[in-house]
Amino acid sequence: MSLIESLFGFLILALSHFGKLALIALGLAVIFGIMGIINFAHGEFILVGAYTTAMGYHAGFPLLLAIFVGGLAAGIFGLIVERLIIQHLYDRLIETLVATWGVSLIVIQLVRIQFGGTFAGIHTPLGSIQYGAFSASTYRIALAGAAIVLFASTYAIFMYTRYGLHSRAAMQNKEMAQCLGIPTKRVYMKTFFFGSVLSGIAGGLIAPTVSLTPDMGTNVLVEAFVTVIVGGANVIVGTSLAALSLGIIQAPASMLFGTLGGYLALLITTVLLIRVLPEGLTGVVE
Amino acid sequence: MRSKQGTNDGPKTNEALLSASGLTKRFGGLTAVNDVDFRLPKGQIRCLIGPNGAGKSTFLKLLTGFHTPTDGTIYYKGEDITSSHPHIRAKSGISFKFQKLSTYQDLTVEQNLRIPTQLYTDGDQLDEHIDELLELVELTDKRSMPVTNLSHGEQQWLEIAMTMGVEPELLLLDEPTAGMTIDETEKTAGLVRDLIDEDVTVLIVEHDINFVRGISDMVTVMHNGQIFAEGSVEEIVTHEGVKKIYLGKSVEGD
Amino acid sequence: MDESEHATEESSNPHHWFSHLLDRFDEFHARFEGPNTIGNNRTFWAVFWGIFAILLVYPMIVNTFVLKTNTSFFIWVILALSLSIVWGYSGIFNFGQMATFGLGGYAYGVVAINLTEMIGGTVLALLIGVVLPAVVMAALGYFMFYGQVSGLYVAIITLVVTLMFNLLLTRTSGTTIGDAQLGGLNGMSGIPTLELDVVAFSFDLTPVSEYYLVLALMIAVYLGLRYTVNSYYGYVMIAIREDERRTQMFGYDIRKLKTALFSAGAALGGLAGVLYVSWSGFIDPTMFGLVSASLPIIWVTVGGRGTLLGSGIAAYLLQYTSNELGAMGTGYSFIFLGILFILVILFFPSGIVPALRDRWVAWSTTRKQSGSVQEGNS
Repeated sequence: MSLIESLFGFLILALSHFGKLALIALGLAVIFGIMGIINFAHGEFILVGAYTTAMGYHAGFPLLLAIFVGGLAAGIFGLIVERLIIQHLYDRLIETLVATWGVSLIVIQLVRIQFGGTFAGIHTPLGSIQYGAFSASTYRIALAGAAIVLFASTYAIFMYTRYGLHSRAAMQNKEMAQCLGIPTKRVYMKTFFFGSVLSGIAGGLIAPTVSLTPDMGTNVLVEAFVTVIVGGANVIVGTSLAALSLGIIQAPASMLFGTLGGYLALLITTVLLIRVLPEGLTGVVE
Repeated sequence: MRSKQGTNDGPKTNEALLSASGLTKRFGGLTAVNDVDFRLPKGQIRCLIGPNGAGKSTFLKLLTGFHTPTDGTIYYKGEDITSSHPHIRAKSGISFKFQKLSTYQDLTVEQNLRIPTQLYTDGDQLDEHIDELLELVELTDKRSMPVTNLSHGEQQWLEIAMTMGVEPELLLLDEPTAGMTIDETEKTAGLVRDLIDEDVTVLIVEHDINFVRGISDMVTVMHNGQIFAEGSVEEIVTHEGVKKIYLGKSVEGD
Repeated sequence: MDESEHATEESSNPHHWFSHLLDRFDEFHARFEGPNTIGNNRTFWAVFWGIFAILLVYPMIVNTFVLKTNTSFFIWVILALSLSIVWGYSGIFNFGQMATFGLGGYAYGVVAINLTEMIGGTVLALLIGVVLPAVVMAALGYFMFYGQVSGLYVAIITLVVTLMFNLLLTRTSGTTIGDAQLGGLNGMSGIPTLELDVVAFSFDLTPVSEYYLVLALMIAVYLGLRYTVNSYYGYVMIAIREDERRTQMFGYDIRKLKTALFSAGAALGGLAGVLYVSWSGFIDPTMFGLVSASLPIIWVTVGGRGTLLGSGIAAYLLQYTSNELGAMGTGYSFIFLGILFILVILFFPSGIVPALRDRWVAWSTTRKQSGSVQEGNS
């Protein structure tokens, strides 16, 4: 492989890692950024999105429509979880966290009982691109584009809608927002729904690139968590910067040492980074 | 107890226990403390006053190590402690009471006192020392109550006792009378006056000018992050500039 | 009433002898009592030692299979106690306690497989199984606590580290360390049981002697931790949990203390892991999975985070129940645990045992009050 080819390969790989990290972290980051809570069942929201997308796809829906349905299914699931559990636990950070862990356990087991160890996946569309000795799946690169579209939409929703205004106010200062008559509880409910939809869409988008198993949520959880820690509380800028820099770190590590090497590089980067920047990249941005 | 009402003893010695030079703290674009030079002689009770947002609390938090200064140095007993960690400052005798009530809410009065004291007092004298502190703040009969059952004033006194539990040489109190009734404020003043017999130097951030008048040797006025004026209580209450910065609010007491 | 009449009727000698014994009984337990634990009276200790006596004769009542299962429950109790200290008392949101257990187990397995025959015994393997998790967690703790990250991040990072061990160990199917085959997803098998030959005391572990060893360790760990939480370090732990910044201002180096507590909890978790692997002869990466990692969290939350007793009881009872439900398929037992877990968080946020204790206290004080009122009337 020539230098140009390796460089090209590296760029493509970094791009596809960025795409995946950004997608799977966005829903988690929205809920964390606005509500300050970490959803431990995040992986299972992605799972709900992915499984629903696969079901829709196998039922004959076009992939994009199936992904949309997957996002909606995860959103409804999120709404149920919020109404039944989360809303009773606001201001009790760690309780929320462990409660969502409970949700995750239940979902994993229900999926295993209902669908067994694996679920019929979706063939990766769009074929692959070739450059010299290097080849990569076009779809994985397209995911990076999808991630950018989703981030831009999220940004637009926060900047230009009433909900966005309210949620930014609630994030800055909850008491103040309440005094101004902003219904923070409703804002939180909508945020949880919104974050769940984003996770579901991410699940649908990555469904063609992973095997659909009950623990697929756990598998993406590590990367999503790490991205959010590195990013910090700033949803758009922090998370996208984190996904980008972690993608650049993960790509060569996994190229040289395999998937596990990529994960280890992520973990080590994160642990070293928090020693210097406990608030993540958000701390640098602000 | 020694009566200090309305007197102005001045510093006992001239040796500075604590001093700061060029001390500055910026938060983003806001300069909370701006190039402050400060000197506190051993044995003095000094009050720090100033309008809201003058930088008083930030200044105290710089002295305790809660915040790290952007610029400047802090000396304590002649040593540069600017970059030493809060617990090291505490161990060397600097004790701090937050403005916000910070007793341990899930514990009893006695347990609250035990946490600071046990680090400085040996096991066999621990109970005795806790008894003394309880007596000092008149909470002996409430020793096994959860602190949540105490009144606001009682919790404040408990916290003063807790800050005394670390056997401080320098006591930094951030608005110890906030939210207190007049009676409670008077009792707090008495408590602080008692402390000086124990050879403790005290720096208090306070709004209540009657309280200040009752206990203080010297007053420092902060404004816009800087030291605006310094002098005896009488000098300060008659100071035209000080009156002005309080925007017409009476500094002479009601 | 009856008893005291009897005592005065007869010569006071036997009564005196008995009360002297009771005094000694109370004196012995005083060191384990204090405001930081549940069960600080004679009744509690009488029940405690009563149960202990039943557990002592238990091997004579049941068959080997039941006994072995019971031994594993005691091991889980030790793990629950270790998390109660780190999370419940010190307020460190450690979601990776299961990693310390797994690390201890793997370390013991590797050393025991390689060295047992050579050095004749597993004491070294036991030691390494305890020390390795303590060292690993001290290193992780250093980065987290000296970086002063928020508790939320501690929770996430400890869980992420646990899941990383899971990934790491699933990819070790061809890896060997000396004679030990890590075995990837299939796990490592053929691990020797503990052989203790300390000083002149040597025995191979049979199911019965293993039961007694684990029982003794469980009681020792429980009493040791009760002593600790009611002493100097107990107050340090609680002070850190309640308000770190305040505690720091009193002169405690919370960074160092949290790292030390985290590491000590890991050593205890490692000990449980060693006992477990010695018990089963086998370990696999599922120990580090999300589902396993949730178990100690569930026990401690359900039983009551801030109580050693609650954490221990919950670990025993929940493992017992899961074991019974396991007959229907492991999936159902986890669904049961998940639902129970959420219900407890919603309705008994401080845990079931503290809630029961509060009921008991309320009930017994009203009974005493109404009793004294009646006496006053009569």
